[in-house]
Amino acid sequence: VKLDHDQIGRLYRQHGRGLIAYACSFVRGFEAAEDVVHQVFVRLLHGHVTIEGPPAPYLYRAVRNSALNDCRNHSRDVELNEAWLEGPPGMEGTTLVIESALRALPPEQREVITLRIWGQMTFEEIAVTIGIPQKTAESRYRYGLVKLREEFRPVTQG
Amino acid sequence: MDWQDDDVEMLLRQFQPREPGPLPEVARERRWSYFAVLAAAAAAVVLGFISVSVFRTAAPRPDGRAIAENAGGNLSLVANGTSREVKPGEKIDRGSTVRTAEGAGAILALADGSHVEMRSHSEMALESANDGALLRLADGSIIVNAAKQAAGRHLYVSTRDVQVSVVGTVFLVKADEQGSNVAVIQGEVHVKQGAVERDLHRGEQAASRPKSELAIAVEIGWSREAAAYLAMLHEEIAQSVAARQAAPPAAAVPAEAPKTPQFEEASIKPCPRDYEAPQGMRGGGSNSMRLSPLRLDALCITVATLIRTAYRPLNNNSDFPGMPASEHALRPDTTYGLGGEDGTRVRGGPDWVRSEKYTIAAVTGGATDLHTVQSSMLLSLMESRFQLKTHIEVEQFPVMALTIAKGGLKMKRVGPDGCLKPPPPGEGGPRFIDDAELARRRREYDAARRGATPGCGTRFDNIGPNGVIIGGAASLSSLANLLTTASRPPFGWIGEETNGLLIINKTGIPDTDTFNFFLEYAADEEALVQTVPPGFSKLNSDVPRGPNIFEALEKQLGLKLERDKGSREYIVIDHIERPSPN
Repeated sequence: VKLDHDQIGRLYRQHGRGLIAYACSFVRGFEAAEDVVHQVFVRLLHGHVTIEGPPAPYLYRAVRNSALNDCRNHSRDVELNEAWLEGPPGMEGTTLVIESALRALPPEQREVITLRIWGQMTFEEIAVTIGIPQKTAESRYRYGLVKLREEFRPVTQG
Repeated sequence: MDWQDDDVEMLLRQFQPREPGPLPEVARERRWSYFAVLAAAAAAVVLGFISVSVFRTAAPRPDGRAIAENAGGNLSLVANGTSREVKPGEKIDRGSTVRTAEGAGAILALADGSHVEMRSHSEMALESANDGALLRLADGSIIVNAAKQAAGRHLYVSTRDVQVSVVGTVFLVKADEQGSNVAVIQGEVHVKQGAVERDLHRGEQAASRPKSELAIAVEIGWSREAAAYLAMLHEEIAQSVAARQAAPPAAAVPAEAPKTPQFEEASIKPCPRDYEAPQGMRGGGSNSMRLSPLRLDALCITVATLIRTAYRPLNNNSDFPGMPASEHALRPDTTYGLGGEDGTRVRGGPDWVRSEKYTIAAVTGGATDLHTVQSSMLLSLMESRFQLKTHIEVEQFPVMALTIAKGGLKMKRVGPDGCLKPPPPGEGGPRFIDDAELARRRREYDAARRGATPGCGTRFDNIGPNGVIIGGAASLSSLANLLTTASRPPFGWIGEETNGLLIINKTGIPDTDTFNFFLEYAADEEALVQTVPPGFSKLNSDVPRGPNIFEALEKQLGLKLERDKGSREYIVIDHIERPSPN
């Protein structure tokens, strides 16, 4: 399916935040993640890409590939580490704790957790998106949560 | 109370990724580029009847259109006496008038990358100017976070009676029916009111009405970015003060003895009740603390916890063995749940120091490093308001001691150049634990096992069924610290063999002597399964299971691990009184 600009805009509004979160699980910093997501949408806007099947798995796969390319190209010689999460009122400071805990996760667990929580995907969709068995996605998620629980412990005893 | 996975999920779901900037448009009449636009931005607060123009160099063209970034149902488009809600992400064309609802603001992204934050109950029109964009504020307040402007292009903010031109700055403007105020937070602005024009620099204000100086910190309080602007403002002031202090004195003045850093002002109030932490998150309830270079806030915290937090790390009595004092400080703008004090670290004094809770708000009076805020300033506050007097005592407690085995050390003593320096920053980016990475680690550990020079520093990892600890020009104390870490939750790889006791270096070898070492031991299988991704250990399942930690230390490094007594410090309260009234 070739999408028109309005459809692409709707996809961006619908999935933009989730895609940013997903890109942030690969690249460091909000701005780098935004560049990665924009690259994907610019290709769509130029009409260079047709999407077969549901758009969400395509978008997440495309962001994954772009992000990995970004890493491979060593395009950023300074590691950016801007906050990319926003907390609810009164908990803004906790975003640093969450982001730090996510960064400490093994990347494959971080990836699945991001897709599940902020990409709002089912495990089946996650499996399709990153090309792993569904059971693997589920166990990566479970192990990731176990580690996060421990990561949060030092700052949440009270 | 232990967290469940559901709690973690609930916590994560409370946080949302930041909304990305507007989508770049291509092959259309409206050609907006938002790539790399949001760099160094200037912010302006405009309230009332003022005109602001922003002159910058480089980048895209403002054209009087915007996108509602964070409207949240609070923003309406107003036309012909009617209004309709603006949806998040919706484009707003030039010529439109937007209005925020009572009690809630909104954020707009302009085509040039600038951001405009509207206060609740504000109304503004988006218009084009000959050489840029014009924001015409009819009522209320806005903060303009201006991006760099293309050559010859300007961003204007217009009210009724004053014009302000900006060159890369952050400033605040306020106006009402009686007149207008302009105050500069960062950089400088050019203000025009009728035929009168003048430049304002940081910390300076101008008013079109007499005797109406602004309390800037209060005026920007409604903004979502108030803390950032406040920090910016204080930083500017601090720099200004520092510059003045650095200037040679006009006349010789006798130097004053250095004073203990103290808060400029502090409020200490008894906590009327215990606060439960927000659902899904315990940091933020009672016994929590938040620091910034400008202030300290503690919510319903016991005096014992305050003392523990203010003191330097206690020898052999820290949650994080081996963590240097410089890393012991709390991070800025992060709410920490510090927990109660169980008597391990703070002892003596009346019972109320561990039960009664106080809420503290203290301001530093200028940008101050966090370590000073957390330690010197907090201790000083407690000494002055609680009449606190303490001393440190030392006691014996059970530990596991790392000593030299009978056969002597089997490690290579090296200097700081005896290990491989880490690659320069920017090499590689994030490393993914895939088959290739596992194979790389396998090669590295196989080489280390054969005595190859390791990378500098210490790390612990696993390979197949074994835990490994690698040191490059590392001290034996750092090895002991890593052994403690590996033996305690969340890892527990060393299992029950050391009972989670603190492992301390009792070899008598000072930390100035450094070694290269590779330790490989059989990890606790259950703990390994819990903390290593599935497949990780399987892929190296051909690695033979190593000896237990005791044998491994002795055979591989010439070290012995045995039960012993160690000494640890704790704080004793000699005198304390309930705080004096504010």
